Amino acid sequence: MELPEVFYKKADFIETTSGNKVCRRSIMCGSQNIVLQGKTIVMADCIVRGDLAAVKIGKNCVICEKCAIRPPFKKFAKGVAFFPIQIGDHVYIEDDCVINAASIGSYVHIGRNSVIGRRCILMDCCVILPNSVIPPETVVPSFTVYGGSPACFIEEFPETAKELMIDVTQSFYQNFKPTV
Amino acid sequence: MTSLLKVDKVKYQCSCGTFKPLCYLYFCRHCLKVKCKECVILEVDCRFCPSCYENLQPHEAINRKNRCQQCFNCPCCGHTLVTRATNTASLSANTSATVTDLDESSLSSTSVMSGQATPSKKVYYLACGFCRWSTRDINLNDQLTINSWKQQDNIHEQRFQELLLYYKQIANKEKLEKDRKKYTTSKGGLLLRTSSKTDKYGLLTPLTRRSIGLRTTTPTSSTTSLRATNTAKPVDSSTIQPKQSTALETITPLEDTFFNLDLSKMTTMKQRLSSVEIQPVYTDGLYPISKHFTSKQSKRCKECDHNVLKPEPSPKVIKFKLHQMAMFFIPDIRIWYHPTWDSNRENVCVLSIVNQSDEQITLKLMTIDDILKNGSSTGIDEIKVDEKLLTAKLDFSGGNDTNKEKIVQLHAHIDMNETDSKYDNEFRENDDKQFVIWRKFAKIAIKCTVKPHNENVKNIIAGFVMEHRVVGISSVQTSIQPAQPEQNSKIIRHLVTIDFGSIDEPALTLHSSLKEGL
Repeated sequence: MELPEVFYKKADFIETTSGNKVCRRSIMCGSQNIVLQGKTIVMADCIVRGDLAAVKIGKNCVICEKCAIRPPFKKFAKGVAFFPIQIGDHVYIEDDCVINAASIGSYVHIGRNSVIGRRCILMDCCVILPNSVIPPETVVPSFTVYGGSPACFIEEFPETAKELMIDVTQSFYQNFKPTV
Repeated sequence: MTSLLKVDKVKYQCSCGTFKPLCYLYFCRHCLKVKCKECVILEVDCRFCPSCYENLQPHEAINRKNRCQQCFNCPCCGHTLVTRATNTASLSANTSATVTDLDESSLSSTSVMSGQATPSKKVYYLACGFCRWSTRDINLNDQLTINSWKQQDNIHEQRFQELLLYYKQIANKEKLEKDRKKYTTSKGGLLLRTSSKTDKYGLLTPLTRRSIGLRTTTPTSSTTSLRATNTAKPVDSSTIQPKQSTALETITPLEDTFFNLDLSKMTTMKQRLSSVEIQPVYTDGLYPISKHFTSKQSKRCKECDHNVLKPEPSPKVIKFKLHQMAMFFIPDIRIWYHPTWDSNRENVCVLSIVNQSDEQITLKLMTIDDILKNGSSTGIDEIKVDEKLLTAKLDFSGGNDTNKEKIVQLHAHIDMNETDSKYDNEFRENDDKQFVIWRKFAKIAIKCTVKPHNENVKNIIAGFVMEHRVVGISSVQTSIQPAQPEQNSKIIRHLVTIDFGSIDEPALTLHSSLKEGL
């Protein structure tokens, strides 16, 4: 099925020269530490904690409403330290997710209402089902579908994951239009 | 991503007859057929741990029973266990040790801090980040080195070895018998007997060697375990018999105390079966489970034995050496619009067709009625249509036109960023504007009508057939005949079923670009 058109009020979004569309109602803490590579959409009520550590988000990503992206921390003897978080290209994060991962590869789809625990590593081309909880320090391999609480391997994902994900993110960007 | 595009709505028929979404199908360029997961042979290319990504050679992985030595699963919830490091400062022999839980990497700094009192010892234990189970719960001593956890002894180990050896023998014997049958046909037998004369190039050497082994019944297998038992005397393989299992005559009744259970201390069925060899009944018996290896597999066509998919051997790389997915050869169909359903009239729907291949495609679309009426043309594989599957009739001409076959041309797939408006115009001029209502690069939107067979239909499933030419790879190329590109091209047909969903479903919102055409 083709993706439906999504309309937004032009006044609600800031569009950068590289094509990023960031909602004015989202909270981008420490914006000097947040890098959006281009054509990335950040929707309303998202929180990106760039004040804790650097956040790098790749090209053509979609971060839906009410998501929280927070760099992971690690306990040390003298306190805690935050580590930068990296998100690859063509990543689709649905509504109400909490992302605490160390790195998320490219062509990843995270279902709605999921929690990605501290220092998790999501490899390229993996899928997290909706309402999943990925415990801290989990590695999700490529071409797999993980789901449940605690998230475990559900099934294998077809080898066309990359092409499907490029298609999804690009057509989402094209169908994300300002209201006339 | 499959949920976003709802790929399971449109299904293509595989060469075996089953219906699968296009993104799950492979395409063999040698027999020019669509293959599903059941029509290909899987071959393991590389084995690796899904947690630490350690890549092992096949024999090494088999020696380790396809399990990682460094990574463990929690026996309680199944999540990966994390190694935790602690500092144990032994003040005196009798006093209890003070323990500070810290992360592994923070050890160096803490040992310096606590170094002034007494020499501290680093110890490690495993803990689950999800359910908080740890190796201390089952009173396992902390280890002095990382991942020096021993495997639990399997009490049935000897019995398994015994049976394994026996089965290997049977398998070996059967294989030899099978080979003998294969080569004792008139020609083969002659060849075998006179192999020393005819086998000029040594092609039959392995076969001859095997046949010698067969006649003399000397151990020829390369299996080390077998050789170990057989080297002493060339015995008949059937002599080694494992101990027979015996049936119990009487079973002792359960004691009364059995029913006074403390359920909080019992393991669940899932926990018990996750370590099959031990199957602990009480939570005290839970033990960290070594992580199973996972694998990267290459896929081979069952019919012609050619590879359809071959991944790069490195576990982290997602590229493929050979990537023949059906998506790259066959146009992709998707539902774009359907109205609120009315079972008494023809409902106008819009489908999109995307060409993902690098070549221009001329696509012929036919209704199911056409196929049933005309049958298959010469040189095209016949399509069997099971009409019971379909609950609605799909038509491309709205029931007015007599010429029901529709021909459309699709551009080769290009990157969306490389926009060239000229590209569209040449094809757009030739389009039947009533049929192809929108066109952009390699994507078109076509109009069709769907009418349910009767009023009782609950779920609307319609189908059609599409036909196009594919160019395959010629397996035999002789130097005498120059390779002709058209030589192995063939016209193929696909039966496509579209599940429009329940008849009560509301209409989809019409895309703004389609409003003009519809």
